[in-house]
Amino acid sequence: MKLLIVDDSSIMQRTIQKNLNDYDLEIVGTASNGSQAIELVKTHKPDVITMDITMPEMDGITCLENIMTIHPTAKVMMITALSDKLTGLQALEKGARGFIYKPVNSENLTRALDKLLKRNVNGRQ
Amino acid sequence: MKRLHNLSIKRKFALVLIPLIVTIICFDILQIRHDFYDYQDARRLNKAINIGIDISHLVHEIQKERSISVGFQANSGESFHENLVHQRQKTDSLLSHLYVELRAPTYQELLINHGEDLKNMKLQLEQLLEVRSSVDQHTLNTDEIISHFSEINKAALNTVNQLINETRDKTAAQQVHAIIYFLDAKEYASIERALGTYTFSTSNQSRNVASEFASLISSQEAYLDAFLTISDQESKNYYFNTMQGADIQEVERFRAKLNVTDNPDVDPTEWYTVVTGKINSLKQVEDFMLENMHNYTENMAANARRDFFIFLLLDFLIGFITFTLVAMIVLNLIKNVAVLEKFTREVTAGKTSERVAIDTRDEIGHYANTFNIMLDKLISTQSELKQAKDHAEYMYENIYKQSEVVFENVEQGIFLLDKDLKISSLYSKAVEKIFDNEMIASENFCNFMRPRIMERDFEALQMFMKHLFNPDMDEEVVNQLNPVEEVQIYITKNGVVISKHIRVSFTRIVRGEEIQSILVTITDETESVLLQQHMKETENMKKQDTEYLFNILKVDPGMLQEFIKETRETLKSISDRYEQNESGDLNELLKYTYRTVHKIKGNAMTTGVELVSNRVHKIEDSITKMMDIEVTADKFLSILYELEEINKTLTELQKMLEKVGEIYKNLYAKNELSSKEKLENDLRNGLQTLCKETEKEVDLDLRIDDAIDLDAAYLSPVKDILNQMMRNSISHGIEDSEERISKGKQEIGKITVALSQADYDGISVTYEDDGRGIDTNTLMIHALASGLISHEESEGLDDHQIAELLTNDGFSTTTRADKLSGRGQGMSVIKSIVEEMNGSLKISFKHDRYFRVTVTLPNVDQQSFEKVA
Repeated sequence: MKLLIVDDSSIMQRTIQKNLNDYDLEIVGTASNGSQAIELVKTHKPDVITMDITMPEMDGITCLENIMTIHPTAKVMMITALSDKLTGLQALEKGARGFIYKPVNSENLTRALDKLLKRNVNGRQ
Repeated sequence: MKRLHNLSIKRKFALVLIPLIVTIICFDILQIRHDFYDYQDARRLNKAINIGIDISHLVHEIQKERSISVGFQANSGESFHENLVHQRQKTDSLLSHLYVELRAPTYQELLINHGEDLKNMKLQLEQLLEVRSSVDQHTLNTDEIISHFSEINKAALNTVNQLINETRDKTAAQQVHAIIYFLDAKEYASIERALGTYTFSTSNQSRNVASEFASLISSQEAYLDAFLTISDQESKNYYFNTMQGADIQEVERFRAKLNVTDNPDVDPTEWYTVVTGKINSLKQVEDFMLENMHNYTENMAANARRDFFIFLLLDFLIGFITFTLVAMIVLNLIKNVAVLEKFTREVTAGKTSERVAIDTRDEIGHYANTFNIMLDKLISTQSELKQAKDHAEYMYENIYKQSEVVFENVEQGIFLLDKDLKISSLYSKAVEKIFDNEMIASENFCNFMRPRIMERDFEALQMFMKHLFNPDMDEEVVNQLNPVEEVQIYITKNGVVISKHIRVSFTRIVRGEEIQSILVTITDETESVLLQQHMKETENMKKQDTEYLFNILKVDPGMLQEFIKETRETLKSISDRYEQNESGDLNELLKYTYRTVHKIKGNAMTTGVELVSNRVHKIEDSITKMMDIEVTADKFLSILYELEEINKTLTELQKMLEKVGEIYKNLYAKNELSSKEKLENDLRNGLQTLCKETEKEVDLDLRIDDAIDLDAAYLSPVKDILNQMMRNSISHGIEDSEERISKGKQEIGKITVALSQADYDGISVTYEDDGRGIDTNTLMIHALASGLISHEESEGLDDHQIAELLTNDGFSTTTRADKLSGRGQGMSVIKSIVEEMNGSLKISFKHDRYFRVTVTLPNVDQQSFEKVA
């Protein structure tokens, strides 16, 4: 499956890359802002997208909205701050299917990816 | 028709059976009556035949007498005389026998109906004596004799005819008619005998005898033919057997003689004998037939009687059997139906202990058995139901009540939410306690929470609940976004709003694929949150204590002691002024307060009591805000409260100071400082603190004239003034090192302070820094902006006038208000101190070179000073 990482922080990109060994996910692109992300979605039609909710230029919710119009089957996982649950819920409303709270570590990333891809704990389908 | 169907079974049977029984009885009565009539008829016919026989015997004799009488008359008594007498006796004998018979009581009923005929017959028979007398006297001719006798016979035969011709039996009726025809034939035969006797007795053949004979014979033949046609076979056989022999043929021979010759030579007696023989044969046939008929009627009567009794008997027997059977069956049916009905009523009424007992094997019996089986099944079902009910009750008692107990006592608020977000009617008691509300059941959860949480949380909660009920959303993912996971709620209790910290968690209850409801668990974490806060506060307190301690440790205890004492007194002066404030000018009081507080702040900073300086700075903020608006007593009081807090802090510091007092005592006991040393220490410490905060480096050159008598009365104002000056210098005057180097100055700033004895028993304080001095242009701009002077006034101001501006209230060259610089009040504070001491103030400066202040304080007496302080 194809994965697109939308995050303005390269640390996040690296964290995700490090934890993909167990998953059948191939990174098809990394975007550091919303408009870049939308272009990549148009080109690659990724199955899975991880997206930081706070980004320069275009915020995560608007970006998510655009992505859902272009590619509604994409499974989008939002990376949000724990304190702002309303934004998280708005993201659910717009079509997001998963969440990770900051700060992101291996454990919560794997757990969120398992949820998103509906895998059980052992990683089997 | 419906009414018919609605009748009870008993009535239905009655409706069917009663008309049937009545009809059968009617038919029976008719049949019995018919049999009885047959019997009666047979009896009557039998009696009629008896009489008929008697009459026919008599007729037979009269017929003979007629022929003999004709014979007697034809030859004037030559022949037949004896015969006649003999015959008459015979006739009379039968006649009297007939009369006896007719009088017999057994025939009276029969004869009543035939009175007319009998009367007529009797009248004719009474004629017989007359006819006989006429025959004896020869007054009658042959025809008249025949006619008279024939009349008598006719009446008699008519009577016979009438008597016997009355029967319901067809066979009998037919035979009766045959007999009547036969009697008529015999009568004609007899007339033929009489005519023959006359004809053969007389020689006078004037009459056409032949045709008369022919007529008689044909009549005779006609009646015989009729008789033979309808007579029964037995009579016919008897007739043919009897009517044979010589006499019959002789009669034919005589008849032929009469036709052949006009004057036959025939002996009338012979004729008479021959014909009588024939007639006797006929009589024999007649007797046979009458006898047969008599027997037949007797048989008929006997049969009819037998039939009557047999039918009656059979009728009774069959009737009895039928009635008994019908009664048995119907009554049994009705009884069984009644038993079944009673039983069903009992079962309906709930009595199920008994079973219906119907031992017949008909449908009702089957129904009863089926009913019993049904009842057994019903009872077993009932018992199963009861068991289930008992079980359910048990379950209710033991499980529901247990859960109720749990719900009553569990500390968590627990309830279910349906799809409309309605709170279940069963919820744990803790919910009421947490929300201090008893109207919880059926409330919409979001609406219930709305007045109790922040609007943004409410908005999030609504969205969250929607996603929680959406089966496409992963429960864990949604629960990650629970906006009320840890939330502060606001509850109005007795008019007071209190807040609580609660934790709300949600669990889906799924049945099959559907999310049926949501289990909500609420935990009141107020206590633990408050405990945490309390712990934090305690920690802060400890921190504060430590801070106090640090403050104390790093500050000279003597200075601190003095600071506390001075500050207390200063604070007291504010409240005293407030109490003595008769003019009510709060604005003036506020300005005084501000100045005083600012002084305290300066002292606190130079003393190094950050704790106090921080707080005082906040009070300064409050006062500044208040300066822009109309000051009210209330608002001023709030400032006093805040100052009171400072007082408390001072008390705490005092306590702490006393705690460590001993240490200081021991440490500094032998090292009592002079007031000059104290001043120097205070100033150096203050400068150090100020430098640390501004990251500036400044040297202090303090020169105190040895001759100076630095009285305690001067110490405090001098210290206040110098502190304020130092703050001004560091805040506004002395540049940072970079700027200083660029200006070609020494990197380290310099402050010079000189205290000397004044000419007139006072002291002179000279303060100078090597900072920016005063940029008059900037100053003017600020002064104009502050509205202190007009444009016109700004023209041609000298240095002295400019210095005056600096000491004006509310003037500042800095736009930044911090602890260090204050708000441009520095110089005005100094000015007010100087004025209070009745001293003088002189300011001189040079832009980018120096800023100098010279204060001269006169020697005031102790009293007046204290009053001012």
